[in-house]
Amino acid sequence: MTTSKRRTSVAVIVFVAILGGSFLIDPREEPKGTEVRQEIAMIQRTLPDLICVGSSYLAAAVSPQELSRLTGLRVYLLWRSGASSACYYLFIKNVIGAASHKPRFVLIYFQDNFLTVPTDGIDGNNRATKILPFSGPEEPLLEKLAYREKRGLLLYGLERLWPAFRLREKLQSDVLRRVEAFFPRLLFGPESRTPRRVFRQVFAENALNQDLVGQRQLMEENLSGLLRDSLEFSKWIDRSFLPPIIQIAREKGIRLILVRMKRRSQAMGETESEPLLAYVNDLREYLAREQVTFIDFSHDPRIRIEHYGGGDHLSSESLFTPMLAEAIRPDL
Amino acid sequence: MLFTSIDFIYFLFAVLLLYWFLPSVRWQNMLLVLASYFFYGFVHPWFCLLLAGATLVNYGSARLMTAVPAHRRLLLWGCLAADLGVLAAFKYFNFFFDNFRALLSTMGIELPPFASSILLPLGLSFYTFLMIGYVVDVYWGRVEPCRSILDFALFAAFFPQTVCGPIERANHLLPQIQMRRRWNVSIVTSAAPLLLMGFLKKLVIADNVGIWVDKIFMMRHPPLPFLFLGAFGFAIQIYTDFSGYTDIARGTARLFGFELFENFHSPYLAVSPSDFWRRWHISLSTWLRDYLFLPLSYAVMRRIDSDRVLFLKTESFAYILGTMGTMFLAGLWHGAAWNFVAWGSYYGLLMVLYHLCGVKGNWKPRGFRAVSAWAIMSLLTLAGWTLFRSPSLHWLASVFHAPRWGTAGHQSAAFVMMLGLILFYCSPLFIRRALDRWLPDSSVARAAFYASVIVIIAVFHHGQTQDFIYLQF
Repeated sequence: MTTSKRRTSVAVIVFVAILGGSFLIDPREEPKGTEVRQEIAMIQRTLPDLICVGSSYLAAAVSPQELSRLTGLRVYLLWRSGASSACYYLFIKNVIGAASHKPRFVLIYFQDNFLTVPTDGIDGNNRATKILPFSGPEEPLLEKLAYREKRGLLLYGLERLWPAFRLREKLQSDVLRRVEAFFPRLLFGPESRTPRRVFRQVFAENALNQDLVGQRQLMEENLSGLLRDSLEFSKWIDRSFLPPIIQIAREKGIRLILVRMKRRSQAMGETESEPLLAYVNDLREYLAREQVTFIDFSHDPRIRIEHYGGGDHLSSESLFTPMLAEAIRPDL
Repeated sequence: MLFTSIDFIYFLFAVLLLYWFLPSVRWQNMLLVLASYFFYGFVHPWFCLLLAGATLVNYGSARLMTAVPAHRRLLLWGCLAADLGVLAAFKYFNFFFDNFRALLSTMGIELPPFASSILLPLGLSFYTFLMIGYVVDVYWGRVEPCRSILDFALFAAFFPQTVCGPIERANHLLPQIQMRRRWNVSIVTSAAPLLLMGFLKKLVIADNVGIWVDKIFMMRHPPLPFLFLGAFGFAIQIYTDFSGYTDIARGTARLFGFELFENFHSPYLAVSPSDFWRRWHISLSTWLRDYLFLPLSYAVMRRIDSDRVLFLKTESFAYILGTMGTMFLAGLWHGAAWNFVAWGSYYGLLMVLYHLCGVKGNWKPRGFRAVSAWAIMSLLTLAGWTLFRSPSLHWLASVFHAPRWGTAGHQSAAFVMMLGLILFYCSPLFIRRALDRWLPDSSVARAAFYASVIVIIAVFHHGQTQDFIYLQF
């Protein structure tokens, strides 16, 4: 064998060895279902008639005690900050559906096309803190509607085969946390501040120019074209978690109430786009066919811009809770 | 279609597979034209009409120049007017209208607001310059007009370079288009490192560094050290974003047997502004030199009879006018906003100042002078990127109006962390540079490096990749 051929062979072996070695990296992911039992226990203890499902938007807008007083129902809020529609599906399937006590009503709090975007909020920190803790041992529908849809066949297949790629976010986060801490420790000593907290302080909402933040979001939405695409109701409904959510509720004898909330931009007077109006009409018709109650607060003039805190969060529960109680009363 | 999308991977494999089984260059070119139009019109099919229209106008004008030599000049100006008219209409209408309206408003004349909502077609600035270069070359007799419309259509639309360049020249790309390309293994072995480095630069470095840069430039009033860090981060982001695109474009072109221009040559090692522009976006800077700066400077010199103008030699005066005009237009080419114009003019001014100080284009300092020149040029480059990246000149003015020099305790920690993260993301580039310098012939070291690059891309790529920065230009 000539020197050149020998070198090439060694290079190929090194290349394959490093790439192959990466297949042996198998960091452990967070365990599944860690919060399911705890939430089920809460439901068994409080025996709610009405469970409100949502994110921090729900928690900022609705007081369970007040709603309970106004409706005469025992109310429980099942929410996580930043929960996505995939998370709502897991709440309903693995917590509400699995608890021996069944509520009479489940209220789902959402905005715009949130319920038919199955791929949002399923990766990174969301996966670690909201998806896995509410997952069962096998979640074929979650895999299909959220992960396979988002990745496409090629990347999804690669994720199955290559652990380093599948658990990239965990690996990335572990490495970056070390890098973030390394330089401050080197310069300011081991007592230096926690990196993530420092970032949050420096780039807090009031430190950023909100006009620029808004422009950036708009530009991203316009460039990606995703917004318009995700407003095609007929395209997304069968690829979303809404039909399985309705089906689980029907099987368990639970009545669903869907509540669409007004966004800050609407309170500021921004008109809804034509595709969004068409989407909401289609959603309304679909829910009517499925005999699901749909309450739309998005044009309610009582909710004004001064009622908003950060982003789309209401600043207090006192405004919306009575409005909600009044709106759901005919269905109770 | 974006190079970083999954659709592109499927597209590339499908086209490659077909391409190398086709029996002749004619069939190969036909497939590439179809593939290029599919690639270009993937999101907005109407973009293809514009590209096809520009192709026909430029092809026809060049052919007519030889068929009717008496009207060559008229044909050239007609073609340039059409090319630049389309560019102006799509890219600059809103900018000029808004400024015209503001100007009239200062005179007490109010025009109603109007904003064209037509999208800027991707790559319009790039392929317009490509075709202008071709028509001017034909006019000057540097190249023969292309006879085959198919070949010219491929020259104009070749998908690796349509959207963000490199801005090719007819005498470089057309002969490759007309030549038979045959498959061999070196096509893949030479393309793969470029593709891997391109994806690494874009997906791992540019996209991740961009997060911090965006945050800093979205602050209401960043302290100056943060602004400096933002400019430093942006210098890395824009370099890795654009040179990453170029690497992917060149790697993709190689897979089809083409060699495209190199667009970057270690731009941050420049020691003077002209040196920077010889290393940064080389295909644009040489285009501007050949088709704008030199004709403009010669035209000025031809019109001046005396040896001196004001206190300057005629050549220096022509250089100053040519440089300022060229760099002003270079800034405007990048985007229809005053900060781009300011950025271009800033470089024009720097080049003129260096020139007046006796630092000419071929200046090559050694030793301590080289280090000092590099350090000064690096700071000037960062200042330029600050102008370029700022959301507006007004924002920048407000930051400097009441500058905050220091950083509070938590801000110092954040500064160090962000700097650490930026350097961490860039570390593969430093390793690559060390390999090139210390182990240039080691195939084993290279194999280890590229295998690691694959793993790094898999683990550290940014989940939601951003569009390439130069797509907006």
